[in-house]
Amino acid sequence: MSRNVSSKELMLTNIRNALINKSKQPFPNLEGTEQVYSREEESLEVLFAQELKAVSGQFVFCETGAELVEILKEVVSIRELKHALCPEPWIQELLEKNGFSDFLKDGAVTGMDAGIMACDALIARTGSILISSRLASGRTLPVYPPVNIVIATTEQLVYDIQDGFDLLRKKYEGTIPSMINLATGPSRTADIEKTLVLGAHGPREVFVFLLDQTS
Amino acid sequence: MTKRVQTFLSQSEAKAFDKQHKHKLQFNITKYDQTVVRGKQQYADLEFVKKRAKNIKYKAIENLDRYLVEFETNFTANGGKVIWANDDKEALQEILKIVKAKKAKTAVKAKSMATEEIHLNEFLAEHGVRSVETDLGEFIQQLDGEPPYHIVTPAMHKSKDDVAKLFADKLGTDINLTAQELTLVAREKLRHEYVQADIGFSGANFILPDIGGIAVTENEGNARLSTSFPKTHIVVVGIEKMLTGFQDLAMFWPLLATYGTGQKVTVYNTVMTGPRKENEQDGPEEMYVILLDNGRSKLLADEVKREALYCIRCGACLNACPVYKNIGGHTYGTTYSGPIGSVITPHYKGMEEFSHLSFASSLCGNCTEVCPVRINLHNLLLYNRHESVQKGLTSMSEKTAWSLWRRAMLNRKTMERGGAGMKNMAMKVLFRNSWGKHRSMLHFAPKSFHERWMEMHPEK
Ligand code: SF4
Repeated sequence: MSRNVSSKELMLTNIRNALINKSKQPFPNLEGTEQVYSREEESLEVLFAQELKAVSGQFVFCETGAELVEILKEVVSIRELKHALCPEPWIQELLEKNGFSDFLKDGAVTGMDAGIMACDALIARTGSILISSRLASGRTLPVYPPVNIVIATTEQLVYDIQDGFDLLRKKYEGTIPSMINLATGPSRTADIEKTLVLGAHGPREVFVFLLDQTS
Repeated sequence: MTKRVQTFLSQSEAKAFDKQHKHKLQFNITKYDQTVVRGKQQYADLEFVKKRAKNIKYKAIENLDRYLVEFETNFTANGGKVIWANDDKEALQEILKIVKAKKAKTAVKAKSMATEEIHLNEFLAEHGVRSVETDLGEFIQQLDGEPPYHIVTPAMHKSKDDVAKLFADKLGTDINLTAQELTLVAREKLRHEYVQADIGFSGANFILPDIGGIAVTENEGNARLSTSFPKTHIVVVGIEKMLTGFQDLAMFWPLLATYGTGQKVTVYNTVMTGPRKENEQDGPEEMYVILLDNGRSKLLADEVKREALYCIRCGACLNACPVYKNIGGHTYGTTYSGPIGSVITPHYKGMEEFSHLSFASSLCGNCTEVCPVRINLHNLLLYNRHESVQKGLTSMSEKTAWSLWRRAMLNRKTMERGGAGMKNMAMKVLFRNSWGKHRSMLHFAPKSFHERWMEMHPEK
C-alpha cells in the first residue's frame, strides 16, 4: 500500500512540474452556437423511428398497451422466440396478464432468446436507447440474448444525448448507477474487409416499442 | 538505433512495393472515407464543435493533476479502487497482485491500446493466465500472433480470404466462410468465455472526474460483456484520456464516432463508475482503474507538444496519411502508428530510438486537417525533427536521405516503376553515406541510388 501512495505522489509531482509552464487556450473567444447539429423539422417520434431504422433497429409505435401486446405476440411467433426474461415489474405485469406467462421464464440470462426491458430515455437525434444498471435488466440482459426488446413511453423520448443525461440526473439524483449505457442499434462489426455484420457479440436484433402516454 | 531504423526502412520498402497489401489497405481506407462523409452530415457547425472539443481537452490536460485527484476521490466513493502506475512495469506488477489474490486463470479483454502498450497479454501468459481478445479484429490478430495493425481497425490489412484461411488453420472451420459466418464463429466461441472468465480487462476512451467514472466506446458489445460477467473488472487507461466531466460525453461520443467510423454515434457507449451497487442486479464485485503515465508526463512538460495528449484515438490521421497508406501500421514498429504515433512515441519510448519516425512523414498537413480535436500534427512532427537535429540525433546527411526517402515513398511513378530494378536499388542505400561509418553496413547493389537521385534533383 505504501508503495502505491508514493507512486501516486511521484506521478502527481511529475505532472505538476510538467504543468509549471502553462500553454495558451486554443480558442479563447469561441462564440457559442445554438445549434451544432443539423436539425430536421420532424416530430421526435418520427425522427427517432427514422434514426433507429437507419442503424438497423426496428421501431413499433403503440397507442395502447393492448396494441403492444398484440404486436409483441407477432414478433415472438415470427422470430420463434422460446424464452425471455423480463425483470421490469410493470412490463412483466402487463405481459403476464396477456398470455405471456409461459414465455417469460426465470433462469440464467445465458439461456434466453430475448431480453425484454425498460429504458431510462430514448434519444431521437441518434436513434439511441439510454439505460443504466439500476434498471431491473441490469448489465447483462441488454447484451447477451440475441434479441433485445425495449419498451419505452413517449415522455422518455428526448432530442439529444445531453437531454437524456438530464433525465438520468433527475431520476437517480445523488446515487449514480454503476453503469450507464447508450445503445444505438444492434451490435455490429466491420472488422472483416469493412463488411457490415450485425450481431457481433451483442444482440442481432433490437426492437423498440414506443407506448403513447398521451392517449 | 541502427537496427530499428534499418528494419523500418526495409519494411517500409517491402510494404510500399507489396501491391496486395496496398490494395487491401486502400480498399479499407476508401470505405472509411465514404462513411465519414455521412457521419459529418449530422453537424450544422462542425468547425465549432472541433474548436470546442479542443478547448475542453485543453482544460482537462492543463489541470490534469487536479482532475486525477478528483477522479480518485469520486471513484473511490463509488466503491472502486484506483492504482497509479508511473510506467508499464508498475502497472503489470499491480495487475499481477490482483491476479494472484483472485487466483485468476482466465481473462477476457476488450480492445485497448493501453494494454497493448504495456504488453499485457504476454505478461498474463507468463503468469499462467489465459487472456482472450474479444473484439473481432483483435481476436483475429491474436489468432495470428500479430499486434493490431490500426488503432481502430486492428485487422485492416487482412482480406476476408486471409481471415477465412486463418480460421481454417487455427479453428478448423471451412475455408470458404463469408464475413458473416466468420463473425458468427467468433461470436459463438467467445460467448462462453465471458461467462466463465475470472477477470475482464478493458481500456477507456475517457475519464470522467466529476462522477468518478470511465467511458468505453465500441460497436460489437464485447466490452459490455467483458465488463458485466467477470467478478473483477480492471481498466488500464492513459492519464491523458481525461475530460472535464460527464456532460462532455454528449459532444465527444458523436465526434469520436464521426471520425472513427463515420457513424453518428457508436453502437455502445458505456460509462462505468464502479462495481455493482447493492440495489443492482449484476455486475463485477470489484473494479480497478489503473492510471498509466508511462511517458505521458514527459510529453506534458513540453508546452508546445502537450496538445498531442488531446488525442481521442479516432484513427482519422492514420487514414489520411500518405505515408501510412504506403507503409501500413506494422512498419512503424510501435503501439501507436501513423502521424499521432510518430509524434508521441519518441516521448513515450525515447527520442534516440524513435525520432526517425518524425522524418518518415510527408508534412503534407492532411493529418492536421482531419483531426477532430485540431491537433497541429504536422507542426508537431516538424518540431520533433527540429529537436532531434538539435540534440544531434540526426545528422544533416541523414536528413537529406530522409527527404529522398519521402520522395521515393510518395512518388507514384517511382512506385509503379517498381519492378526488379527499383527493388534492387533499395531505399536503404540512401542512408549508406550518413551511416556507413558508425553503423553496420548493409549489402547493396554497387550503384548508388542516392547519387542518381541527386543528379535528377540537383536542387536538393
Ligand atoms: S491525432 Fe487527431 S486525428 Fe489522429 S487519432 Fe488522435 S484525435 Fe484522431
